[in-house]
Amino acid sequence: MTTERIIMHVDMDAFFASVEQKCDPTLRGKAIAVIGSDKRTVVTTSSYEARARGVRTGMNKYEAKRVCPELILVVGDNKKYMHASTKVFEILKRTTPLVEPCSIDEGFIDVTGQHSMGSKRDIADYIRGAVEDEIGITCSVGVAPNKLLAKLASGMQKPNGVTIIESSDIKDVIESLPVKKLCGIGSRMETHLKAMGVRTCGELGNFPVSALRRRFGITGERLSLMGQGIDVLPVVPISKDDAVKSIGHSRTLPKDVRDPEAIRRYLLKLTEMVCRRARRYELMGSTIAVTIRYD
Amino acid sequence: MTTTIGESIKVMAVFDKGPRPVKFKWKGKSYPVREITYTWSSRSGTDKLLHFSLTDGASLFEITYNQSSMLWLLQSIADCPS
Repeated sequence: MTTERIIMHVDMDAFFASVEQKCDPTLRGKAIAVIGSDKRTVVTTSSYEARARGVRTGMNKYEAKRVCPELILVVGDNKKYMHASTKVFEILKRTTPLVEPCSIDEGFIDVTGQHSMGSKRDIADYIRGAVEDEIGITCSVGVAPNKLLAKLASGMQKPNGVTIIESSDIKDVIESLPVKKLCGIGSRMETHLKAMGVRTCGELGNFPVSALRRRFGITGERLSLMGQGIDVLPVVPISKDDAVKSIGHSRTLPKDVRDPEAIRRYLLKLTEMVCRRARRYELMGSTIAVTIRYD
Repeated sequence: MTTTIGESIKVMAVFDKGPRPVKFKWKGKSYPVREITYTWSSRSGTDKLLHFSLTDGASLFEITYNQSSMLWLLQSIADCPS
């Protein structure tokens, strides 16, 4: 008999903003947005107070101030956030060695078979409590039999919440959920699925696999499983030996640039930065991707 | 508003699993540490720096301790609204 997995997704609440509010007591309870240091910069993240007033990640700072005039802009400090992130993952490693960081502020753990710390609820509460006590910020935890559902669960009761999805509840939880709520399905895929008459996870799970395969190839099979709340991917701890898969650098320019020579200079600078890291890792690339964002 | 300072200061600290500043002196004035709101670490070359965000009740300060040179610096001050 296969033991059902217990996977948790731990997601920090408004991470950068929370760290800044921890640092500066006068920011607590206020609408704040963390921005970059350049003159023309965007909102990296904002506090829940700011989000309630319409501030969103990616907004430029002028737009953010327009929707929320009382918004306090705080220039971010990555060293503070890296330190907090390191401490969070140290806490997670107390529960299990199977810890997979996804980003600076979220990660998965697999606590299947861990009995020394109590029930899955006890473990989730321990993580939340330790993060709050030792770092002074909050996180939300999703618990489910797989990564897909654990990630879905962690977003259900934010901030500072624990959501557990039992196997017996999967169908009820995802049946009428819009497909875009599942991690891995973005706006583009949502549009493609909508064109096929699929709007909800229930509809996706019931849609003929052969039709999904014809339309999306091998991805179609994965989509069908996702629609049923099935995900077999393991939690993979990252080790120092793991290969670097990509290296990138980006920059928001201080003002719009149309001069080709000036653009080439910026590209050269970014190229030099990428190549310096590639030489350090002793890597050679086969694909170059350039992303341009403009108004 | 936050003002960058970057000046050397004298600090009275308790060393217990790492330094904990309790008072510092800058430009002849003594500032008691009412609360350390956040601590973090960073590197400057081979030097490890400990950062402390702290308040005396009136202003918010960031001070750093360089574990190699054992020097304290006042990095910035922000006035807290009353």
